[in-house]
This record gives sequence, C-alpha cells and structure tokens, in this order.
Amino acid sequence: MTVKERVNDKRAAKNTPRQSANLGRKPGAISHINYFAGFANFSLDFLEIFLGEAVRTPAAAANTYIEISQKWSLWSYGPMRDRSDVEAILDEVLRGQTEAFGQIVRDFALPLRSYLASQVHHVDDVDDLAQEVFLAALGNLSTFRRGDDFGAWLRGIARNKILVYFRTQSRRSQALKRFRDEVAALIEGDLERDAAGDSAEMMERLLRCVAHLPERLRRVVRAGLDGDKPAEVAKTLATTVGVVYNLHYRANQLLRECLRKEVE
Amino acid sequence: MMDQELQDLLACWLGDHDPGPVRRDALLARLRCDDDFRRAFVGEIRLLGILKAVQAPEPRWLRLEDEIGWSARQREDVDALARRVVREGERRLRVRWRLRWSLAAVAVLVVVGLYLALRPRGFTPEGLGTTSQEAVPIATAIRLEDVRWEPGDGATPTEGGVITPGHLRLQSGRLTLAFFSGVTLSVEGPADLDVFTADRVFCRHGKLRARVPSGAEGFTVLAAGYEVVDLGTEFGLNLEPGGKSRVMVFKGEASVSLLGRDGRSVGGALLNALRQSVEVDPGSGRIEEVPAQPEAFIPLGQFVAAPLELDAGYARAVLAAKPWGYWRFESLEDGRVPNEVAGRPALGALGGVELEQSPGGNRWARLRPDDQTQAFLMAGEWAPPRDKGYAIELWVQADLPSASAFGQTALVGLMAKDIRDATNHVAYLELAGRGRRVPHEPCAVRFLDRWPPAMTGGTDVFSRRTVVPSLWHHVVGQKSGDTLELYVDGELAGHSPAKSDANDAKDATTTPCLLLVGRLKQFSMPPEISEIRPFEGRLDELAVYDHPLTPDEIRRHARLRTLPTAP
Repeated sequence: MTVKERVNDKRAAKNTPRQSANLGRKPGAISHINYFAGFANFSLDFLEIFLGEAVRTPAAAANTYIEISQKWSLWSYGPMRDRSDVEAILDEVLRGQTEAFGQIVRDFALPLRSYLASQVHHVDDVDDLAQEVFLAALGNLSTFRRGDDFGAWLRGIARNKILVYFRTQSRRSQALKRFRDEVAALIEGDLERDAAGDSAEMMERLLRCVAHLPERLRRVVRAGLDGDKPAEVAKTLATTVGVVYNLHYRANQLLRECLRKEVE
Repeated sequence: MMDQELQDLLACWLGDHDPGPVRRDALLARLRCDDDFRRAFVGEIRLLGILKAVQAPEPRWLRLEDEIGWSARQREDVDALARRVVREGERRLRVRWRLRWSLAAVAVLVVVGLYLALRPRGFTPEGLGTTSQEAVPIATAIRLEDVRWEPGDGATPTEGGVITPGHLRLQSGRLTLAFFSGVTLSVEGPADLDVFTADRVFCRHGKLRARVPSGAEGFTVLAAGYEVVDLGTEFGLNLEPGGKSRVMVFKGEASVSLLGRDGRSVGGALLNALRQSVEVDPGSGRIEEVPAQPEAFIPLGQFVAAPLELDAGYARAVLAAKPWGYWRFESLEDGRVPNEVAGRPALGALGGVELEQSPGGNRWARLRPDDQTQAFLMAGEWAPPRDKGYAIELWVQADLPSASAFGQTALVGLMAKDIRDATNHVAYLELAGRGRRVPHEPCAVRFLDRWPPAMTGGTDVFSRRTVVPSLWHHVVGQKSGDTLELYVDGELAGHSPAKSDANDAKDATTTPCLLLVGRLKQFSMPPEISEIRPFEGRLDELAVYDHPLTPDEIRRHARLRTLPTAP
C-alpha cells in the first residue's frame, strides 16, 4: 500500500455521511475541506513521482499531475502567481484567448470569496457576487493598469457590487442599511489592508488549524455566526447565543495563534 | 472574554439584528474613535469570511464559464496543458536554484557588512538588520540648511527629495525630514544615522530633534546600548561619538531605556515636565538626571513654504479648456474670490482665511493650522454631469501636520444642495492622511465619486504617497467616461472603474451641488474634527469642468509652473 492509499483510507474512515451531506451543495461539487485533503494526497502523489516510488518521464509526470488534479478538482484553486505571471495571462485574454481568464479565476476565487464573505452573509450570494465581479473584471480588463495589484482591483469592483447588493435588498430597514454603509466605510481601509495579505496558502494553513481545534470550538467554527446560526448552535450545545459568540471569538484567537505558529 | 460591544456589532453586521438607534449610534461612535476596537472587528469579520469561504462547497459559475469558454475547452488542450505544467516545473526549479544561490550570496554580504559595521562599536540594538528592507518612501527632506554630506555610501537627498530606508551621514549643516507618519526630525552634522522606517531611526552620533504629533507616538531613536521612545510631542538628543548622550523633553513625554545585549530593556527613565533632561551612559549602565539646558539642543528645522509661480499663460490655458468655474485667488474683496468665468458664482471666504503673495506676484489662499473655521463656499450651485464626466483641478501645498490636525484633510467637495442632507457628497478630493491613525497610505491624494449622493460609499481612487509637504502639487480628479482618474503633477497617479450603473439614462446628470473648499462638511464643528478634516496649507487656481480634461491638457497645465522668483 502506498503512502497515498494509507492516507485515503484514513480519510474515508473519517468522512461521515453527515459531513458529506452538509458539504455537498451542488451535484459533483467538492468542498474545500476535501480539496485540501485532496491537496495532501496530491502532494503525496508527487512525492511518489519525484522521490523514487515511480520513476517517470516529464510528460508522464505531467499527465499524472493532470490526472490527479482532475481527480481531486485541484484546478479549482491554484497557487497565487507573480504579478508578471498574472499580467502575462491578462495579455493573453486581451489578445482574445478568453479561456485563459480561467487561470485568473482559479487563482483569485478563494481570496475574493473570502473578502465578499466577510461582508455578505449567505454563501449563495457570495458566490453570485464573486461571479459578477469576475464578469465585470473580464469586461473591463483593458482599464486595469499594469503594475497595479490585480487582487486589489478585483476587491475594488467587489466593493461596488456589495454596495449595490445591499442597496437593492428590500428585507433590510433603511436605518440598518445606512448603519451598514457607515460601518463599511469606516472599516474599508483596514479590511482592504488585511485582505491584501490573504493567500490560498494561508487559507490552507487555516483549515489545518481548524482541524486542531477542540471539538466544541470546531463545531462553532463550522457553523459560523451568520443569521440564525448562533441560535441554532446554542440550542445544539444547550447554551446561550452569547456563549456561542464567545466560543467563536476564542476559536478565532486560537486560529490566529495557530496561523502564526505555522508561519514561524 | 469578548467585548460586549464587539459582540453586538458582529450580531448587527452578520445577523441583521437591529439593536435600535441609540445602540447603533454608540457602536458607530466607538468604531470611529477606538482604533483597537475597529481593528478587532475587522479581524473577526475577516476570519469569519475566510472560514465561510473555505468551508463552503466549490461554486459552479455557469455564466462565467460560458463567457470565457473555459469549461468547454479545458479538457481539449490537455497536451498543451501538460507541456505548460512541465515548463512551469522546470522554470520553478531554475528560479529556486537561482534564489538559493542569491540568498546565500546576500547572507554572506550581510554578515560581512554587519561585522564591519559592528566591530568597532560593540553592542548595537536590534533593528540593524532592517536596513535591507524594501525601499519604500518613508519621508521627505523638507529643509536643508548648509548641509555638507560625508563622502561615501550614504544617501544625499535634496530639498523636496524622497527618503527611503538607508544611511545618512552629514559632515555639517542641518537636515529636516518630514516622515509620512507625521513625525518631523531635524539632524545636525556631524551626524551618522540609519533611517529604518517612518518611526525608527538608529543614530551613531549627531544632534537630533524630533516633533511627534498625536497619532504618531512611538517614534524611536535607537543608539548603541539604549533607545529613546517618544510618547508624544517633542524631544532632543545629543549623542557624542563616545556613546554618552543627553536627552531632553521639551514638551510631552519620552521614555529612555538602557538595552541589554539581547536588545531588551534593563532599566529606564520617563522624561516629562518633572524630569526634563537626563544623561545616558550605556557603558556604565547609568541614566542620571541633569539640569535642563535647552540651548544645548538644536532647534527643529522651520518649515519654509515654497512659493508658487505660474507662467503668464496659465490662466489662458485653463480658460481654453472651458471650465465651468475658475477661481484664481488673486483678490479677496468683500470676502469673495471672483469667478473668472463670466456669470458664474464667486467663492465666499469663511473664517479667517486669507491670501498670500509670492515674490513674483502670484496670490493663493492660505488656510492656517488650528483654525477649523476656515473654508471657501461657492455662492451658487453646480450640477456636474455624469454621462460626459467632470473634473476638479487645483494647486495644493500642504503644511506639516499641526498638533490638532486630523489625518485626512479636505481639499474640494461637491455636496448635494438639499439642506437636509448637506453632507451628502457627490465628489470629493482630499489628502489621504499623515499619521498612523488613518487607514490610507500616507501622503496620498484621494478622489471620491459618489452617486447617488450619500454620506458613505462611492468609488475611490488613490494616488501613491506622492504629496510632499512643503511642495506645490498640481492635482486633478475627474470622471472620464466609466473611469475615475487622479492626476498628480501632470501624471496619472491612479484610476478606478466608476460605478457600473453610472451610464443609466436617469444618471446622466447629477443634482445641484454646493462646492466647499478646505473642509469636509459645512456645518460640523469641533470636536467633530473627523467631519471637518480642515486643510492646513495653501491652495490656488481652482477650476471645475463639466467635462473631463485630456491627459495633454492636464500635463500642459502642470508644466506651466515656473521657477520661483528671488525675493
């Protein structure tokens, strides 16, 4: 049994039906948790290829890479590229090779969705807005100034989309909309500065850190704090909503600490 | 334990929970005033956002896939993809190989450099290694008085020049730096220092004087064996080559700490009105109080504003670009600055605003520090068009921040005229701040376009840190088609896509607007300094256009500045 097969066995044993049900939203979709588990397997495959368990030609190695990537949906989110790489891809798109924009989507989707999710509650809305942002970026690619930070440019478009999204929401009172606008304006700079440091790698580390949280905190983190979630979790844990907030706060502290240690 | 207000704010932000108007106002007030609270809130929602995104299922973006033909063609070109993967892997290996050898070479150079730098002086506190950090601008040289530089590797900035982290060695004379953090530092030669960051300097010897405004506290001068940390306002430091030094606080507080070999504090003293001056001898590990001798310390370099001289054809060039309104600030009769465009309203002067004159005869508006009543308000209204776009152009020279200055300072604002919502901006130009309290990059220009008019939101475009205090800058903020553009000194300094629905027929025009110069909001009063954002400095040649300017026009206007005339 290879290393990868051993890890796969362990993963399969841990993946309960309930987890799978919670994670599956669209047919064939794979969660990022599975994605990162896949990433681990993918790395093991590569270890096997390059460290001696399977000696192959570069072309064979590449085919294996593609095969494994398709298997684990690893093309979903690639590593962040250099600025010059991004600009090379943008040039390709502007020359008419629009499918090259897929590379940009892969690279920036997760940080962009995270940015949107920090301000928009429902994941479906987050994903719709992210799609809108990418479409707007594609349509206005010629206005992107070379040398600028493409991620920051995307977030600029995202800010506009979020603004329109909240203005067109009828279920919120005018007072609450105004309040939200004012809070958004006050935190815009801090949020932008922090978001500029986000990367897919950091998010991968974060998931590893979540796995190390105590069970009670992990349940709170998995549930999130949106809408009625705190009340639901409070009921499940037989506690109060205030305690759920405090548990999440403590969990976030532990996660930050864990991220720091991972970096060190 | 979580702060109750943080919990309430999160509940409101995430859960549509409305705590009521009183609580909302209290939360907003705390968010405005308490930086730690604001940062904590941002930290929480950001982490929650990341967790939500990474734990959610992968989305299928069918419209996007259709648009870029991505999913359909993805599988067809597997061979090409394979080739790219192989090439990418090979490229990365090459890059890593080069990187490793480069890092090894750099490490050897750094070790040798540090050894040479440290050997004759023994212990040096931590921070020396930071000289290799990225060369971002951190200050500007605002005044050079008879400066002679030591020959060698140190930087030799000129007046108005940008300072990046590095070595400064003066034989004689006095250099005054304005850091982007808001700190002003004068250095008198002979002096030898390393500037690490906007709030950290290492001094080997020399005479220093620092003024640290509110918001920039923590400015630190390191020396061999000790450090001085300013806790607000002003201190002087005379450091002899032998290592002994004198520190004196002129206003406010500073702390002096002796440092052990590991760079940690092993003793210290607080300097304030009760204990103004000490002698520090790191060799013997002593800090002794000594009589204050202010005359032994150098004065802070005085800020000298450069005059603005313009070519005689400047006004003609502006008028040729057909402005909607143009105010030259050449006269202030009956408290009004006339409009150069016939039939258009004058600017009314508010507060004690006055005009100054250059040796060559040009005049400009002077808005003095610590007077929040100063401003100009247009005696009429203007509705800037949205379909064609609009432009705001002026010359600006910012002072160093005064003690009471707010980080951001207003230049020109257009506000919907409806008196009930007199602070709903349609467009706004400001200097984006000096000091650490503001979230934006310091010494940048901000141009905001906001439609429909509102108190918050809109689309921003920022320049980089290009505005040097004491120098005049030509600034244009404009909406050109679907793009917001910001020009500084004739060059495009930043741009952003304008709001996507801006071209709707209903949005072809805006609404009658007030034009306010030098403050953010018309009716706000102290202590609401964040709503006033008073400008401190000089303004000239303000023009507004009901169409965007071309890059050539902007460049031409910026180049019509002439060299100052000798007095």
